[in-house]
Amino acid sequence: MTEQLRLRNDVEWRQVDGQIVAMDIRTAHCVAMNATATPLWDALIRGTTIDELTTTLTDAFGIDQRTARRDVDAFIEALRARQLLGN
Amino acid sequence: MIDGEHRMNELDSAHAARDASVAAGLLSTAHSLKIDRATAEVVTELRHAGIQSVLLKGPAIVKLLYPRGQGRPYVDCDLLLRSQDFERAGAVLQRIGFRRPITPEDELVAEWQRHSHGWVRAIDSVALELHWTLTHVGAAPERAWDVLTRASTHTSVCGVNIQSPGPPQLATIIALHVAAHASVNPQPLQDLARALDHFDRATWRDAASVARELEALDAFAAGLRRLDKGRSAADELGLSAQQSMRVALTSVEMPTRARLGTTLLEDFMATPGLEAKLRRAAWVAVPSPAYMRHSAKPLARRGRAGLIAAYAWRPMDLAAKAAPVILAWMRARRRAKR
Repeated sequence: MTEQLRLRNDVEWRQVDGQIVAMDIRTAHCVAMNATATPLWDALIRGTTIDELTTTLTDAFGIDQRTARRDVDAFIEALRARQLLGN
Repeated sequence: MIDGEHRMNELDSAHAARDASVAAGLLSTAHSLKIDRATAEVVTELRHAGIQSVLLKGPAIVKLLYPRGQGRPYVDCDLLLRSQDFERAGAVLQRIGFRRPITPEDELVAEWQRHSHGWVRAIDSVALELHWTLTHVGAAPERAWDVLTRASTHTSVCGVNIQSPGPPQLATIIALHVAAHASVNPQPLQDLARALDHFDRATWRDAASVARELEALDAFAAGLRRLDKGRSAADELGLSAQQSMRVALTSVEMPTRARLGTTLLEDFMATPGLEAKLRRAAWVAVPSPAYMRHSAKPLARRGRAGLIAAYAWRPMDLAAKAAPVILAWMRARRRAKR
């Protein structure tokens, strides 16, 4: 999948104890993500694709492609549901 | 991968982090982000009213010294304003939901320690400090404004570019913060350690000049000397190790319950004339109801009966604190004379 994925500009975030805490500036709604999400988050700041995120997970944690893709899909879906991804 | 969602001060128990300390870290970080959001809003509203403000700490420190913000939450927003803008700024803050929990007249604080007004907003639990100066700065507020805003920079906070201190000014603020608070709060020492690594010697030399212009050089030196690397820097800059009594009072180790009392005792000792001294003593012994409800034991907030009981208890409370206060004051005096 080559769709470009990127965080919205109006998302502020911090890293604490290896986890990411992000806030939607529009709503002040905060969400916390565990350490597994950190490499994915970094990629989303730069702009990335589903395929690149899947590779990031497999490289970072040594898991198989199918599991990584499932996790990435779930993560992206969760971010979309919270309207944290930009166009 | 998403553990929990935090709305305002709520924590979704279904996704609560197993480790309570991790949960606390997440919550305090989430609150810092909400303070940032409020900061951007407040600065924008002040700007619309023609009021200039400078972000003194919080994101101004974090974005420079803490990559990705790790381990550096904050509990309020600190803005510096010109003293003549305070009344209009107060009207702006009230319009957007901020309130003063206590007026300056009711607040029990030593005159020489007054440097800001506190505001809070209930809807997002954001606390805001509007400063006209900083603790230990002897220069007049107008002079403090000119010195602290000289060659300022900008920090982006939730998409808003906010004026923030330039490097020497920020280094000074960090050192002064250590002098004022490090004996009760380790955070300023962490900031100073990072600032000593980040800023070069030329910046610290300029910071010493800033502190001199602010008439806060002894506090600046005292703050630096709290760390070994800072002590080396202070020696290289030729800064004296001598501390004034007021600086010694905020830097000497003492029980938390003695801290306010020592500064009030120094305030009392410095007040000229018997009548004025007696008025100060009476003000401490019998503070206003607003102070009792805001700062004293929760008993005072339990209706009229609770307030009366709190006043009845006050002499015993003061008596219990008298010995540690006097001992701490004497320790500070010895340090100041060294």
